[in-house]
Amino acid sequence: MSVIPLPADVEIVTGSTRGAQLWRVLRRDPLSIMSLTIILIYLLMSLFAPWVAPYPAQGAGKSNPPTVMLPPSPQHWMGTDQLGRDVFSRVIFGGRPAFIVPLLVVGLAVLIGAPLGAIAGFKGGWFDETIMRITDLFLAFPSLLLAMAITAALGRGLENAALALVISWWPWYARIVRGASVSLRDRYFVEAAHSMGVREPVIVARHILPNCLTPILIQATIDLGTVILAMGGLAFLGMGTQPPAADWGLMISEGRTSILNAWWIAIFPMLAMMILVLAFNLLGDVLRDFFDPRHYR
Amino acid sequence: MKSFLQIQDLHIAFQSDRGTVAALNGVTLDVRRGEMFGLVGETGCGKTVTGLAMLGLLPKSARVRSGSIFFEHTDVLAMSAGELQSLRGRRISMIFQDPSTALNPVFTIGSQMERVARQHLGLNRRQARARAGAMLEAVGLPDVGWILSAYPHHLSGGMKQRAMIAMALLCEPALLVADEPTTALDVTIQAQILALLSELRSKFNLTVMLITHNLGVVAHTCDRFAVLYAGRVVEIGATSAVFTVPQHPYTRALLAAIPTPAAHGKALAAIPGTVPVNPGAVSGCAFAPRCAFVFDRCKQEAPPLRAVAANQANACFLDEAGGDAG
Amino acid sequence: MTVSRSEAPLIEVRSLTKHFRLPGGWLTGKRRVLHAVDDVSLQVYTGEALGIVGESGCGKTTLGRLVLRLLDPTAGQILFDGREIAKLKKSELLPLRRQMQVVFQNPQQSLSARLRVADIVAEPLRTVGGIADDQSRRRVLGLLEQVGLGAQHLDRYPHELSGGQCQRVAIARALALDPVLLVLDEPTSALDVSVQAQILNLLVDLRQRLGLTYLFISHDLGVVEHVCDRIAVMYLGKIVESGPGKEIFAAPGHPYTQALLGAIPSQMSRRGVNWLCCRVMSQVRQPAIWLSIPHPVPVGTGYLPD
Repeated sequence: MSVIPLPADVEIVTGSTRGAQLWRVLRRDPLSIMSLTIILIYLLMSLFAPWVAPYPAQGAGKSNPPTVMLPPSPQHWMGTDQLGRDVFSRVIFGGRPAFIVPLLVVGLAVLIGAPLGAIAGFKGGWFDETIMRITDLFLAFPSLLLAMAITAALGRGLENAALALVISWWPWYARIVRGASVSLRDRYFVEAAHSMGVREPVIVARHILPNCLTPILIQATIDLGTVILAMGGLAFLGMGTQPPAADWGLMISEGRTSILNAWWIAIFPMLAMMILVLAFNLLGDVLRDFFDPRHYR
Repeated sequence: MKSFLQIQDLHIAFQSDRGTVAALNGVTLDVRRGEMFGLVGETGCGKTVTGLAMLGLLPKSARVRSGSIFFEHTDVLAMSAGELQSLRGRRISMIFQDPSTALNPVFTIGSQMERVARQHLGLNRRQARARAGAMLEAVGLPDVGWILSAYPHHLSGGMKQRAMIAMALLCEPALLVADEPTTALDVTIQAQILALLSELRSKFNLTVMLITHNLGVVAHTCDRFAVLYAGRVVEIGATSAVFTVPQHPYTRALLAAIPTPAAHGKALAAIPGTVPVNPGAVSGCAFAPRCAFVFDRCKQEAPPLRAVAANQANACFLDEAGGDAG
Repeated sequence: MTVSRSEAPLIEVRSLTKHFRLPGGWLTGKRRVLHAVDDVSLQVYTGEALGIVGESGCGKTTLGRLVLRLLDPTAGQILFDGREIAKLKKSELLPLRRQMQVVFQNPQQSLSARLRVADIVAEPLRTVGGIADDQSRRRVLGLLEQVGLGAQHLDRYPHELSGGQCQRVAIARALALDPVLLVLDEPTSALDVSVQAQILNLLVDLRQRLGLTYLFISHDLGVVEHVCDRIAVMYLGKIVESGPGKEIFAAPGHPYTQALLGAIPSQMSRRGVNWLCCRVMSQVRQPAIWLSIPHPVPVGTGYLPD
């Protein structure tokens, strides 16, 4: 027998993997390429902040009285703040709590939510009921409010804010994966695994979870924007990153009192956040369109 | 005089990420007014593409490279979008394999049929409803009043396919293209639907093009049929003639592959290999790599469709060369 | 292909019953129950192939799943090799599972899209058979060769294979643990005729070579007749007729079998129109017989059990 796939009558079966197809779609779409590039630049700048920032010490929080509230200039591209610190350096350093931490938050939320949802959907019964009622409980509160309440209880600080966000975000993933898991439970390959005598934990790990990756990936991409905003919100309210460390939310909060005479202090971190969230939303839309079953190619 | 429907040397290709894939490589066939015509072939042979092309419903990635489709003396491929719109539904209708996906689940059968009747026939609401009811009755559905107000999920598979047929016949089209209308149905329901199609044909002076993979269905419903392989007609003719003496090796192989009581316990004559992915790239006869009677010439040039009897034509060099494969 | 019958059947099913509660109904207080399998008894002897035929919703798939104990029966007994398994717990069933395997209808759906062929076939070996990875690779290759595939298929994903090839992979996976019983649930109904013939030949061949026992479920009487020694016809959850295929074809006793047989718009032999086709012609002219066939669930539920 030859090994060539049969073309379906109308739709052409492509022999490449979904990943390769996705890459082709992304590559052709200028918006998605742009958002990917933006996200990558942000990631690299945040990771290598001490080397990228022109004034690393100021970025980390050291004040510099001689240069208080200077407008943007070739020396200070985004001007300086009330304590004389270079806003550009602060924006780069601020990316660490404002961008890297949300990445970790979403990652953790997926790690907690996805297995719970997969098991709930697969097992059904009391376990499913319990998990789903717990997620209902969490989802009944607006995520940001819940995170604020938890932070208030745990105490201010970046770690607690991040923890609070994880706690209020995992139920979303449990929900999504549970739905996918229920639809996979009765699929033939799962039934075949059952009939072979494969143990249930192995079925969940090998057959259910890998096939839920698509909805998880889409939701995570879209959520990242939201979590970045939530993280910024907590910082703005003084519940997240504590001064003198830099964080976009915190910087906006610090700059808002002088917005009329020194607009640059608040506007640049605001722009930084806006562009990143926009990039994630665009990427999420592209992914959702790509994986949509109605998406006909 | 041209036939009622004449497809001449139709070539259609699809653009995909991996390049161009030829779906049809010169389909030539004719359908006569009032007959039941079968279009048979396996997955990927281009039978559905042919059906869609006749209604101007090809997906965006498809390109018609050459050929023509003359329906009632007009080239369908040269029509504008507006002309196609009025052709579809009014003169040609199509029904599909899965009636549950072809009906909109959020509207009642009645309202879906009314909309079609009002758009194409310019009837008012009451007239449209009366017409829908009459059509449902014509396809043998009981309790028409209930069905008009029912949603698709209230009906069984067979009833849904009947409703689909009723909707397709609302404007009394001249040609009904039925794409695998019974594949999703049980055999007993299948027999009902096929009997219904034959009955409607005489009642409405309808021509039916039945697209199917099932030679059995063709054998007992069609007057004439064509066998498609890799986007090309390999054999066409009167059902009785082709089934009595199938000429093309592919037709013979297909018939031999069907399990029958006579073959019990013996190995079935399976066709080795698979259908070529891109038949356009194959030089010579597309069936040659799988053919038991292949000889040199088959690999060099593609055999044209030639008449071998008054009511039968095939595309094979075999009998031309005087070889007998019987 | 007659098989000498050993004394005791490999599978014996006694008065097996499975009811499904239909969704809805609690508002009106009426619980509707679908009798998917209703008081079914049958025996399958070692080395035999029993075909179960019927239309969608007749309970044939449910019966297959009950025998495999993928479903819990409502009542009745299932004896596998003389041992009652109808009431065994999941954990007690695990050691039995390797002796009975299943092949499903839709080949693409029965393989996980994210695993390679090598991993799909190796899964039962590793997770159940406890065979080390380096040994399993050789065993996988042997299994693939047994079903007509080769080393070039090892690293492919299911979507890179044709339907027939996927079904071969599913069969190889089912054979991995050297089962005695294969439940084949419509194994060829998603395939084209020419590919169907390849798979049917493979199944007939495997059964002879490996001495397998088949429970072959299909809606296609012709296919079942080709592979099986005996046929049981199911209708509304009950077996209405059973016997050797030839006898059923020659003299269908039950009206439903007659309907089923007549409704195959079948088959012409190489020499021309065969007798089946004549039957079809005569049946189609009397459509009244179809309309008298009731549906197991009242129309309008939108519930399709199969």
